[in-house]
Amino acid sequence: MRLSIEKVTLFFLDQMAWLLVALFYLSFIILRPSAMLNLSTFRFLLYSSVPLGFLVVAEAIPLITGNFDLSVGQITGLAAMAAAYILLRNPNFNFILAFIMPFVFGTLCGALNGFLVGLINFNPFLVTLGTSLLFDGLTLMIHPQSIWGLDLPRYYVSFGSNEYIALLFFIMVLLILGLALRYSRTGIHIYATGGDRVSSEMLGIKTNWIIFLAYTIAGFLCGGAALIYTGFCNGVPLNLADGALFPAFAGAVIGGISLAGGRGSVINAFGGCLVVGTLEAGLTMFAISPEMRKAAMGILVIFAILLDRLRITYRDKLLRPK
Amino acid sequence: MEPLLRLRNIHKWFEKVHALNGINLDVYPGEIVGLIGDNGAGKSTLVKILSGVLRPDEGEIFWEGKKVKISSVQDARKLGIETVHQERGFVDCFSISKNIFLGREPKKPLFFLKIVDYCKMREEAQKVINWLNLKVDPDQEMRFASGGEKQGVVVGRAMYFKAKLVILDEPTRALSVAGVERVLEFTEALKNSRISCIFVTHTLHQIFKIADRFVILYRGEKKLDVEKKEFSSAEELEAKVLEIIKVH
Repeated sequence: MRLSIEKVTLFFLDQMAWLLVALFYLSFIILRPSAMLNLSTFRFLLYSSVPLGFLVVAEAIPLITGNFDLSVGQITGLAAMAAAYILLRNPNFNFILAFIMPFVFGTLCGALNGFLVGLINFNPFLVTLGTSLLFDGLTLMIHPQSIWGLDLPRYYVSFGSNEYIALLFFIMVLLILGLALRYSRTGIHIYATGGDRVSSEMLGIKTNWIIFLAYTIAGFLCGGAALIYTGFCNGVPLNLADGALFPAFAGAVIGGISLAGGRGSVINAFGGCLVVGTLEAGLTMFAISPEMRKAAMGILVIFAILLDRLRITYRDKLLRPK
Repeated sequence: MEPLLRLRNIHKWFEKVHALNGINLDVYPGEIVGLIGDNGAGKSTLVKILSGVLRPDEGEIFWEGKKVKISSVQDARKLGIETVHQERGFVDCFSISKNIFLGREPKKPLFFLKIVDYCKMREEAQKVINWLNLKVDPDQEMRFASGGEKQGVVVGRAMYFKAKLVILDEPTRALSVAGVERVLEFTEALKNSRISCIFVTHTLHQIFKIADRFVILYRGEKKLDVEKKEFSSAEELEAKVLEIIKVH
């Protein structure tokens, strides 16, 4: 393949998330070199993006099939709270089962979404809006207070609080997921369903089951987020991941998951997550007020949508054969 | 010679509308049948029944001599019936090679797993492209191909997967003159591969040259079923068609 201006531009367009991360990070370095220019800040930035990273990837899968999941934050909260509550009441709970629990709860929640949207064919926006309230309510019903990390088994909390373990775990999950999406038939069918559902059906792809699977995987990933968040927050705060939907969504879209469905890679979605993470870290570093943070996040979401549109248009121009 | 496809007394109602009224149709191996009729004639209903989207209310379908039920798109494909639409049947943002193999991706072993074989897909896609002389690249996204070329890809896919009957559903609608020419070339390529073809259109003269037989539908009934050799020109056939329609 010859190297050409077009190929280079296309590469940058597709990897834009990583460029933005570099851009943001560099600007923060310029503004406050002492804080940003050291390895532990960089390492912390990566680590603190992991919980959000799980949620970005969780949101990405339904988006690829052309659907929405508004409940990712609430699934995470419920999975975290339910698992922590069981551990609270059973301090000598089986070590292996303890780690599996948040994934199981997350998967069940995701399967509910998948059942209603994929198999019953309800509107994804309305379903996941409803389930987000349901999961939120269930979280409060299980334990209407935060659970402190000190009351939980040491091993359980230290999994997510160890920077290296958390990052390694996330990268492993990301790689497995990314490869499965690209190199398995089901993975291709997930993209096909988002690209053109009617045509996929015509070609024998069972799109309703694909959508069910997409939401179930999303739930599973939320379970992963729950485990990491528990370590990161040293316990389960009552409002765990409550407002995480918009950063997750923004991260996925900036990372190249198209809103139209059918395209985008989860690896790049992590890049988008880092953009959000870097921005959030920067906002914290410069002690921006909560109100302004909210506004900044809102602007980021709109920016993500614009970027998606521009990217598609520009890619079209570049890829159209002469 | 036994017909590949035989429809006997096919009826279909939509509420009170009798969309298909006792249709009998035979399609032989390797022939091109032009299915002609205006809007409301029942052409698309018949196509949907053959491609498994709809089921007939009455009547029987025989495939290679055996009675069959086509209850789904998968059933139709299993028999070897493929349908080509201008806008559907492919994913626009996928590459040509991915589209050709969509739903039937080839796999290769990797340790204990089986992963999708992109190299094979690309190679085989190039073969298909060469068969039909398509002006596309296997890695190019489908949406950048013209309407005619897109249908060429779908026709190529049908050929690759050894379809026995390809139904082209109004393939020349909204195409340029060059596009129409290409579609006619693809249709002849099908015939040369001994694949039967039902070419649905409302413009008779376009397929006059390549078709073997013409079936005219009018308001749900088959009004004419003739071989091309009985007519010396498209105008003659058109005149006969108008004559029949005027009687009603």
